Amino acid sequence: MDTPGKLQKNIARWTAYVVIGGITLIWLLPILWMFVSAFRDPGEPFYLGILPSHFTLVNFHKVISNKITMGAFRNSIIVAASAAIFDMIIASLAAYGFSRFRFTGKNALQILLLVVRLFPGVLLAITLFQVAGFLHVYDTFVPLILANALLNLPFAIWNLRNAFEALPIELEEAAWLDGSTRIGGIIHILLPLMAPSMAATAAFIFLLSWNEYLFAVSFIRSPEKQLITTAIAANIGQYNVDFTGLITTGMLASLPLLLIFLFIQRYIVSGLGVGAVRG
Amino acid sequence: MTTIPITQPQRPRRRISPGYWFVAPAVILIILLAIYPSLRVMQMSMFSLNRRTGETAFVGAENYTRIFSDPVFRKAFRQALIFATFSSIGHIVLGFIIANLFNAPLNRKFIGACRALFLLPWALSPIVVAMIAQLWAYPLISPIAKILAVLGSQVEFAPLARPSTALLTLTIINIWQFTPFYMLMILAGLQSMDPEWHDAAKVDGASALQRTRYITLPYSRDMLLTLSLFDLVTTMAYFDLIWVTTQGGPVRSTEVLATYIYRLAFGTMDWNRASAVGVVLLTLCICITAIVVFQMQRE
Repeated sequence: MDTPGKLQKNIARWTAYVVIGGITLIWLLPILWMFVSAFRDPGEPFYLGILPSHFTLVNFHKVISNKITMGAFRNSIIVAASAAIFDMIIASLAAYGFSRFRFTGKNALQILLLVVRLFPGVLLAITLFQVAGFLHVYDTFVPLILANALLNLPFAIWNLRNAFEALPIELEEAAWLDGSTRIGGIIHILLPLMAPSMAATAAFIFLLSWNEYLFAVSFIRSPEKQLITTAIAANIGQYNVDFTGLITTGMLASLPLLLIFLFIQRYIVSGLGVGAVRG
Repeated sequence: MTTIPITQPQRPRRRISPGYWFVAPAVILIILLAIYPSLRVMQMSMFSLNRRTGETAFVGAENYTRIFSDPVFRKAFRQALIFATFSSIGHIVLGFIIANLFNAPLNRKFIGACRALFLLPWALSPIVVAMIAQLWAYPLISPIAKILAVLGSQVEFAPLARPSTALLTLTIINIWQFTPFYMLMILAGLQSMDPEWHDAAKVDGASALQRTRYITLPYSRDMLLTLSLFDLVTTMAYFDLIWVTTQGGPVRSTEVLATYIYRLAFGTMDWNRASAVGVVLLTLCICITAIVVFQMQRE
């Protein structure tokens, strides 16, 4: 039989479940609205009801057969993947250096990374715009990839450094005794163990670069080189566009990444920045 | 006093630590893409382009005296501060409350699933958020307008179109998108807290609210302070959502430093004045970052 104390405890527990579930649900309402509205008939005005009266796939058909939108998706994949690969190479080296060596200026470099992490993107946009013109790479993906790589570099280094630090140095020392070089040890011993956190780090850089807008709008002029964010932004605030088509594009630009994010979110916390500066 | 003769320990041959080779590519990238641009912005801010002759001349602090007497700059500066301050307060207060809920000893699978889902807005592109926001602020589409109409409201719901409510609306949207990130950071901090403190207080009959007030809050104080500063810097330079939804309007009511810099540079092509505003923003960011570093190293 429940004592009054136990009953009270159960009520408190159930209240907590309802509050947590409720907050999560309310927080997600705008996203759920986007998902549901992507299936709305373009001919059905929104003021008739929050939920569509029936579901249709016509918007998806329209978006997928739109060459410009599909081109924007392809461009975003190119830019985000290049930024992620570029960052992974530079950041794994740096992260290894930070985790395995002591050297003068290490602390200063860690602070520098924090400064980069908090660097205002708009300043990077105005200077890189001029440098890009000077080097004749304006209206190409090069400045975009570099800018994304730079701003996400601190995250990548911190996340990978913590992953390296979790691996004992003895693993490598054993490989060295067997005649392996330092680089050989990293590639054959450490990298396989690092695979989950490296994949998560790369995926998160991909996500952030995919989501990025400021550089995409500053450095790209040709319509066929638009990224998905600039393609969507060009239609926001225009009151004569196909709203359901726009919403569907937004949903298609978000859903795959949100799904990936659900899998990687556990592996990125240590790189996000706070508590990242230490000797 | 006599010096005690000691045998010098065999010092290792001085050579460059291999650590430098590993961090070198990252450092080169940072020098080329962050340090050089900062210096370049500072330099550009002290020059001025004569539009008639097309020549650039050194003008010293003139751009700065011009922007400081410019009412639009002052408005953008004030609004950037207001936007950053209220957004940060929202992120940290809501983030702290929700992190405490997620830290409750309940079914782990349930909490883990809710936590992951709660983070989703943060993983959205600000452009997708801007798209939803713009549609939700449009009276003929907005579900909120629909609900208000059902409740009998006669006022037209168009929060981004009114100068009195636009900045507040953007602040709320920013709080919605980024509270999950700060919640995650705070939660990670709370999980490093010794659970025995709470157990001991529970035995002494302290309620959950009292335990949060007298154990969790003092424990997380430094972390919350660091996070708030971190938040201020980030939000002060925030651009995407504001630019795509209102472009600083209506009547400059949502103009912040980032949108003003962007407008000066890419709109009026006044790169020198844009750089001067940029230096002001950079100085603010570096000052706050310096406090963050000081805080972190003290911890």
